[in-house]
Amino acid sequence: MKFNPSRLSIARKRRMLNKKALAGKIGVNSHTISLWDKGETEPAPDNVQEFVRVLGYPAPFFYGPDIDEPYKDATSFRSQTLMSAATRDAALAAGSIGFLVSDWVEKRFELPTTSVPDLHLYDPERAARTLRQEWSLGEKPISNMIQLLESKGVRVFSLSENTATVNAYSLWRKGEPYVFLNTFKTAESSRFDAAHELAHLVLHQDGSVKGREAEDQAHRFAASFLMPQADVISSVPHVSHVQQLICEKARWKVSLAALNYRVHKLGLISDWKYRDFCIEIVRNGYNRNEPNEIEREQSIVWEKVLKALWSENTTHLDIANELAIPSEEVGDLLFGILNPSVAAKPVQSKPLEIVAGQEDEPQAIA
Amino acid sequence: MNALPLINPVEVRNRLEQLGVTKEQLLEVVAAAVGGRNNCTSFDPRSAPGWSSWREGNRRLREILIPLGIGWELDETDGIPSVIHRERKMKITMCNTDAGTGLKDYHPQQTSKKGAATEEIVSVNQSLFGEVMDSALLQNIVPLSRMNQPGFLACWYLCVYCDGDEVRAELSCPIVCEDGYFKDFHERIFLTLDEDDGSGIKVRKQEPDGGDAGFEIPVKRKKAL
Repeated sequence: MKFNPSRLSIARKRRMLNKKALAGKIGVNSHTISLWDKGETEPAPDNVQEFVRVLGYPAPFFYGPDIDEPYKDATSFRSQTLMSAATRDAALAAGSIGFLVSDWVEKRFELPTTSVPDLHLYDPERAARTLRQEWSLGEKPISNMIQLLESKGVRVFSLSENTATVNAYSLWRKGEPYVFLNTFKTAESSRFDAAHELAHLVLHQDGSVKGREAEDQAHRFAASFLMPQADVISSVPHVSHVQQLICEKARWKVSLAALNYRVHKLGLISDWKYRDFCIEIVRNGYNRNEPNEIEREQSIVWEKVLKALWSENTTHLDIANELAIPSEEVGDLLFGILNPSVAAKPVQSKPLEIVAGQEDEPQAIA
Repeated sequence: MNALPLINPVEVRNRLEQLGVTKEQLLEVVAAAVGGRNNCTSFDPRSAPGWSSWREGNRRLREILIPLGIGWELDETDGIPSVIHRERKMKITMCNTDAGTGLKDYHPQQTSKKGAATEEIVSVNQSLFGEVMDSALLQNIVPLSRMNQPGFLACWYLCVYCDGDEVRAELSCPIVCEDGYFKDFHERIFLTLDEDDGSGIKVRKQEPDGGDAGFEIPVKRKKAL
């Protein structure tokens, strides 16, 4: 198998290195990297060993077939202005690795079939209502966004980007919807992000609406989808103070800020009261430390897949080995949305062995 | 007589095929009923969730079966909304039932007391199946003889139980209705997931290991590569 420059590019982006930075770390000039990148020359085995050392990817990774890459134009990031190109590219490159893992799993497992309609002809609020009807959700709160998405055939992965500037992104690939969620954020924010990405999947499949407008539409959809108008009005017809919202937000599992915004949009509080609430939320630090926190939502699909694999003595390390990717990449994609007890389960499939210790000391088990 | 429920997915599919319906069609009806219930808020009249579920379920039942053009017709005899199939001598109506639905050690009961019309319908079922079943069991013969009597329609109830994310359903044929509630059944067909163990789980379910809620998320191992 020949050296695959697109894989070098993915590994480099995952480590947030531009060509110049990579050149500096492996002791070549950036023109050489460009030539490798374009496939005009091929790196020597010594260079590949340097890639292994610097990028942490095993050598076979660089000799695999092409990997699908999420194109930045086909994905939606909410905070474009706050996010550096390196951060964005790293998140997108995580998507490429996600595709590898997803394809590996789908060769071995039948996952839920896709049932995500195209609603681009609807305005966001109507699309949210229509989708709720389509999925028999009515006006009731959604108990778990990740599991709802999974039940409709959406492949959900976690992004372990150590920054809140990357919220999440979503895209369609080969007729299947994918959502990548940043689990660095609060559980409420991740849940809202999941609804926001669902909006992109149903509203913007054709790519005709982009940028700020698409983000605004997705935000309106997410608010309507998570906090349906009729349910909010009947559950909190009178809002008198922030503490009431802190208590009520548990019903829809949203952030205090999101519920405050929603009740204002629905006319349940005046402009003045909304402003006062915003000030109170900031003054009490509720914008930094979410009050009345919910538990982080977890994936059922990955839990079932991993448990089935364990029964065959296969772990995420074996997946990583087979795909020639660092094991932490698999972990980052799955563990952020996995039940901690599942994520912490066997990390190696080889049997335990007893190692002899010194006399008078308990024997160590490795 | 306590009818043993049909749980095995293959048997369920075969039996439903005999009755002229499919599991998918019935699950569509269940989803519509659940959607109708979920559409209600605390501002709706207290009876609205049940009524909405019943209305949407029976409407979808008709929307799905009648246009097929295979003999299903609309029927409203005695104010009970149903679809009837004269050739098959049967009718189906959807009703809301309690937590006993879809559980083999219990049986479904209506969530609201039914009147004389339901008791009359169930008594017809009893005349079709009840006595014949008892004698047939003794004589080891197939109890279908009375089905040929003109004008008799066996009435099947699509029983739907919904509590939050937990939904169970079964297509059942009651033969005893006392004081407005089902007491015994000739046959019960569980509408469960194919991979299910017969604990009666359908459209959505509570996670048995204590997860807060769950949706139907089937994940199956393919045959070894």
